[in-house]
Amino acid sequence: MKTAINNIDGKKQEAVMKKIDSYRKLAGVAKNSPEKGMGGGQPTTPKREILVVDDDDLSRKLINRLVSKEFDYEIVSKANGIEALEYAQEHIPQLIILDLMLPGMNGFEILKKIRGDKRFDQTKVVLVSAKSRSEDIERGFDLTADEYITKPFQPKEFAARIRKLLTKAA
Amino acid sequence: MLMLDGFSVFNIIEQFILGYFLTVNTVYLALVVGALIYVRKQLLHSNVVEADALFKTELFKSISILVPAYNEADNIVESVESLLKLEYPEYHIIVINDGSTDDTLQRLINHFDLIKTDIYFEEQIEHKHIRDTYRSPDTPMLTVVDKENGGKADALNAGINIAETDLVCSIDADSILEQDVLKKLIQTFIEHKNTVAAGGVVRVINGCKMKNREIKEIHVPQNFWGRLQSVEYIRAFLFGRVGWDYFKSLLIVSGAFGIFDRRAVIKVGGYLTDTVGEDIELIVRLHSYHLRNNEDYQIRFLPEPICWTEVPTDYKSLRNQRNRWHRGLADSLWRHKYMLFNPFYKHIGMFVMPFFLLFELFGPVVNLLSYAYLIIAISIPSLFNLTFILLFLAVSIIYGMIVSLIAVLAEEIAFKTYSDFKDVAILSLYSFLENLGYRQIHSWWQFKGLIDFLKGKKSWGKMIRKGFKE
Amino acid sequence: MFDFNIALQSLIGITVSLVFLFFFLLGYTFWTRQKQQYWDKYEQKFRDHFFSLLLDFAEQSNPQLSVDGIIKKISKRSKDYAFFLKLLNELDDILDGTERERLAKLIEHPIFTSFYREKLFERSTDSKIYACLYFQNSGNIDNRVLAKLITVSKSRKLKLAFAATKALQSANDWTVRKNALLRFFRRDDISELMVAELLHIFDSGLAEDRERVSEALKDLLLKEIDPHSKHIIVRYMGYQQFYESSEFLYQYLKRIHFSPQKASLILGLIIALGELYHTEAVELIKSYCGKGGNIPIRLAAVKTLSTFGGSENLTFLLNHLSEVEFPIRKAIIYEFMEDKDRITLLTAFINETLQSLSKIDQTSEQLNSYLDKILDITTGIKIALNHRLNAYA
Repeated sequence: MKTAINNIDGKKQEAVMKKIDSYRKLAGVAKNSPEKGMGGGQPTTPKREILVVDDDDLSRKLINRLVSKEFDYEIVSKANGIEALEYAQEHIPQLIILDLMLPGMNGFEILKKIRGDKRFDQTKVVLVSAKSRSEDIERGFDLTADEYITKPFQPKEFAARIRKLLTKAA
Repeated sequence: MLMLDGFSVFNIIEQFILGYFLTVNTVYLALVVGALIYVRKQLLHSNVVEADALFKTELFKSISILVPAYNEADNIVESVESLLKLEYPEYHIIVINDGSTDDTLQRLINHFDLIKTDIYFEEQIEHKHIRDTYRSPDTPMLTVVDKENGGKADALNAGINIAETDLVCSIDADSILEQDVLKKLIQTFIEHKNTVAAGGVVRVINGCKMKNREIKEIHVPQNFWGRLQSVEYIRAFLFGRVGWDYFKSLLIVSGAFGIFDRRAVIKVGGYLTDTVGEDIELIVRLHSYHLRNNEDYQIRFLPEPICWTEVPTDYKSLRNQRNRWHRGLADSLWRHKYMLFNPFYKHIGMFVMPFFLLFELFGPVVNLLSYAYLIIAISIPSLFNLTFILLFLAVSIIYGMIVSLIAVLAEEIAFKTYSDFKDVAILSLYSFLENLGYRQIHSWWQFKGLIDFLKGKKSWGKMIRKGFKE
Repeated sequence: MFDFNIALQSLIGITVSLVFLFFFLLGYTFWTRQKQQYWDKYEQKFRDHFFSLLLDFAEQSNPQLSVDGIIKKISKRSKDYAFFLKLLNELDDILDGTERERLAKLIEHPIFTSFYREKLFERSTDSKIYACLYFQNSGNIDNRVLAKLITVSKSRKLKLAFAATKALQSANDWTVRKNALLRFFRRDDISELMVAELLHIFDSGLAEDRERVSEALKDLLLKEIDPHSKHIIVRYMGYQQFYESSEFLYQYLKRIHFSPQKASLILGLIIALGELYHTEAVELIKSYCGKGGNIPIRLAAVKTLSTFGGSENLTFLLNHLSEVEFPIRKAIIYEFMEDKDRITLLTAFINETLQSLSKIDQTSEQLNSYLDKILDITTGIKIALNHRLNAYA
């Protein structure tokens, strides 16, 4: 499990090279985050946006890869709940893929805030969580999540569910 | 003849002083080196007891985090928010508003949309009257208790009564916990059968950068006193306690963070409300109870940094805090003096308690007398003995510096906590200062604490707190 | 007594060593930090590279990738092996289905198996533990490794024995797995949490294994192991719904005589029988409800009787309501919050009790304490109803 402390180790080394820029990269703030390029097929003129929020590096990378391979969307990723919400409020993405357990602010809170905000009327939200507890799923749908996916997942199924959502939206 | 006798008396004093410092520092050095080896091993093997499958069963231990809050309006919402983000499958948070005179309670109510909700519970241990309890449908894991002021121990007792979980975790309202603290601490309970209490490394948060409720960068404090305390915490907290833990003789679990078996605490009667050292006292009582009743138990220490606390940065608060700690130690030893040299209480009675009495409680007295003697020896020509002065410098000050330095750098080797090497270098330099000046003042504070205890002064030294909001 | 020269020399000596130590240790820590940073960076690159490679392989999007092809790309450094396996295990946790199975093939590759086999035979505990962790995840255990793991599982070092016992659960031979469990449970230094962890690893959760698992667990209960460990075994059988064992557990409970040592085992059996809905046990369980008995056991009995339900059991609980100690009273009240019918039953009972008050001698001393009790019960009911309304967990 990643702790905030571990993150710092990673940050520390990059700080030697470029102090300010490196952190933004790690947190996935920078537009041209290295994760985005994974799996190739990056559109030159991004039209629409997907926000991926997960504090686990590997999960974030995996989800990034899956969606960027399948869909012609700009993809931005965040590790911290508060940062994610701030970003979302500024950019109003079409789709938000949200982990439940997040530092700063958890997935439920973010979802609640988004559902209470008119600007997000067109935004679809997918909750992703390691928990398969039924009460979490129930609560997720109570807060009107559009989809609930539990980890571990099958990549094909994951992509299929997202596709269904996006075609519905379009 | 008389002169010679006089000289031999001074000779004995000098030998005693030198022997004392040599022993103390050698014991600490051994603890530091031993701890480093132990910690490394512990870190390497920790994934064996990582609870993976356990959390997929219902048979893990549930935890309630008890947060006593007295006039914490500036911090409380942020504290609870970050406590809500810990990694653990099932835990609760019980905030106990201990009759705050500011708007601590109101801020909680507003932020979490709390609703007055009665709780049906039994007062198994005594505490001051509870006015109301609050919960929120949106945050089912949070309970807020509003009670009349009764001090930290009293507030914790109320929390212990209301909690329904296997374990309770007592923290300070301004403690910041690592996100995986509970998962790590449960390893102690997996590894050691019948654990009734466990503590972890508490570190100084002053100087660290927080952003979005996460610790982003770890640095040494900017403040002089803060830096000295950083050295002190590393030396005492990590290596002192790891050493004691190794001999299954842990006597102190920090009040800033401790985790307990709830039933065991209820069995011994909860926290004591009329002492200033409720954290030490509870541990001593747990030892006493289980040894007396011949029940299996363990009190353990997890040598990993898990909790961050704000330390006082002004001279006065620090002085009062140390005075209070020393009174707490004195009080706990006094209340349980029956354990001293009592073979019935095994290693705790025969070895640990006497050690704490001689070296921790009376240590400052010996220190001060030694310094006094040193000053006399320097200022009175007939007693002037350069040999003694030089040896004293060597075994007390320089040797002490070596121990502190090794502790600071051993910590760096084991954990690499600090974000920047500069921080390590600064701390290394402060490990010199800690031995030259700070220790002496510290001994004086502790000595005053001892005197105050004898005079029966039990009031709490107040600390001026700064919020850690961004 | 002291010689001045010796004193001076020791002061100088110790000061010099302080200065020396300062520079040496500072240099050393700086070096370890640099080294760590180098490896962190290296690992990050390594992970980035192999992440896409492994996923291409898992998704079969690049048909040219073979198991051996990927393995060849890893250098022979032991750090690389560790990084690679760590990445694989982490992916194993978040991926499912065919992709996961493909990655599992990589974990079992002979190159790792032989690497960790050697580690297992090394003297150092660290190496042995790493090897155990590997074999726990990979499951590729040959006879030589098996024999060694069995030896290691008997180690006096608890953590090592625990690691080896976990690794042995990946063995193909069922008896080996069972015996490893039994051997470990016979120790007297294990925690209950270890028992729970091991049981979950032991039980694959597959339908075809179910009968064997159930038989094995029953068998363990008949062996001489700590009642606290048995408590966990019984609880496990209960919540994993081993219905076929319920009669066995019932007979088991029948034969136990209460002793403080066995309290937790009895408690576990009562909870398990409730979870398995073994209603034949009802009279036996009621016998544990008696006043003055062990409170946790009685709490378990209340829970189980409530699970069994039925008017007879519910009336039995209600009749206990005004007599029992607080925790049990509370438990009974909360059990009656389960559904509407029960709430009706409860309120009817309270009404009846209140009416019967008129028949009691109004002057008696007992009346006061009786009224207190009723007040307490109604308060409890009020609070519980309130919780139900607000749907707190």
